[in-house]
Amino acid sequence: MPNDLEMFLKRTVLDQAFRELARTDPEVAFQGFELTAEEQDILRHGDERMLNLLGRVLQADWQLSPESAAHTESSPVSTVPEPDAPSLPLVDLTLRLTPFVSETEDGDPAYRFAASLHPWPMPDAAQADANVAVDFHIHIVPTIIRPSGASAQVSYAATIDGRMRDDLTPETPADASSSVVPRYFGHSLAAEQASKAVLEATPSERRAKLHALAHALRTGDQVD
Amino acid sequence: MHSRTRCGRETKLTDIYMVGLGILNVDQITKETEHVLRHSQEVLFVDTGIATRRYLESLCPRVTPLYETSYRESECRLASYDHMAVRVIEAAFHHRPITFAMGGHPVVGAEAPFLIHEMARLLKLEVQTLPAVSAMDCLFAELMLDPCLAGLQTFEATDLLLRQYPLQADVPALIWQVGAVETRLHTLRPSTPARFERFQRHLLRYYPANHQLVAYYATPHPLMRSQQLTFSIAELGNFAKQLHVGFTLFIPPVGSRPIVDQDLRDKLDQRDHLNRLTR
Repeated sequence: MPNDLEMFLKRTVLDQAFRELARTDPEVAFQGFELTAEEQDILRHGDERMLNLLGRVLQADWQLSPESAAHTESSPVSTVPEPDAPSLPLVDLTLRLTPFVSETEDGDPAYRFAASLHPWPMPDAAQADANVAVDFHIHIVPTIIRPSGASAQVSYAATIDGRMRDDLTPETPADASSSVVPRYFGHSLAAEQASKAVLEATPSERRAKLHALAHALRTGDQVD
Repeated sequence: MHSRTRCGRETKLTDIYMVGLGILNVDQITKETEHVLRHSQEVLFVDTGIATRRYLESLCPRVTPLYETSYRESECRLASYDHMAVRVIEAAFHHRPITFAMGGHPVVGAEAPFLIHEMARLLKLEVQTLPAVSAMDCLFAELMLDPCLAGLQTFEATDLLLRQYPLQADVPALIWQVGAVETRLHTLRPSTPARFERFQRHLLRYYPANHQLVAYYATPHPLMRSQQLTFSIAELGNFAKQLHVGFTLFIPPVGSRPIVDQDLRDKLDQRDHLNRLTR
């Protein structure tokens, strides 16, 4: 049975007229509901303490729902282990721009940059002309988006950091295999096969086959 | 066609709809979404609004909550998303059209819809995704933030750290899910200051320690006010306990960028320039 707090909170969501009453004249709105003094105080103020009230109602809802009961009997989540996603090494480079002055045919000065690529971070020996050169850190993240057998389609995302070298703190590149949270799932042979298995499955087999398809989309591997 | 475009005169129903319920539900549900909910054979939903289920049941005879069967304390959220996607596709096979409804916007800060989309494509099911109100829309309104004024950069907090995205200090920034930074395991436990140390170090590469931040949480209930916590980068750890997963961090810009292209600036109000640009 829902308690009075739950009924009050739900009614303020679903019944606009009652909501306005709760806002403009809470003492009248409270009438007919058994609410503690603390609950009434929180409802009057509408501050962050409301989250506790909402959480209490939600927890009670979940404990009563048949879906939660079913959840305790069998694991609804995939039991397929998550292997590491295939990855390529990150690439870090230094782009050095060195300004210099030359002369045009008319004898006027022309200001130019010489650009050169170097390892990142720069070796100590290359730091000598730091007073004139400007260094940029280029960070390239290759991502395998369509692994398929011996070949793969790779996309590259690059960032360029324009701060002076002295401000940069070289760090160990992140481990790409542990960093990737896939948002766009690759199309692989494994996924094709898993989808075919779903289409051929009986209704009782379908859920397990769908889990296998989800796994194949994430990893490019086949579960069977 | 796998993914259908929207058309106001459309009469044929899609196999799977993916819709958002807004943040302050049920007030932020669009009429378009409500129409789809009414015509679905089943609505499967992930939302923590206290009256969401009762509202959905007033529109559709078969309503299935997925939140409590998907998330488990200290378990990986990826398994939760797989569970949601599998249940949605399974329902679509059995009795389409069906709708997958989520709090907020269906493809903002959510992975399950992308998985559903891919699975449906392989299984020749049609999917249509409808727009909705996200936490960012609420933030725009309440903080009076116009992304056209000084631009906007936005990152998911953990992704920001993983990829070490550089931040442009003169452009406003929104950082999503700051309260869930550094793990993809689900938990409802409050954070410790240690959770934010790496994040704080990253911000300090681009902003001064006394730069003020605004943590914003859009209200999910009409009697509750949205929350705004203002603190400096140096004070971030002191707010660890309050910063739950629903907060979005707004980083105001450090100064504004001056106009560089004076030639264009001079032409902005010139009629002959307009005439050159138009027929």
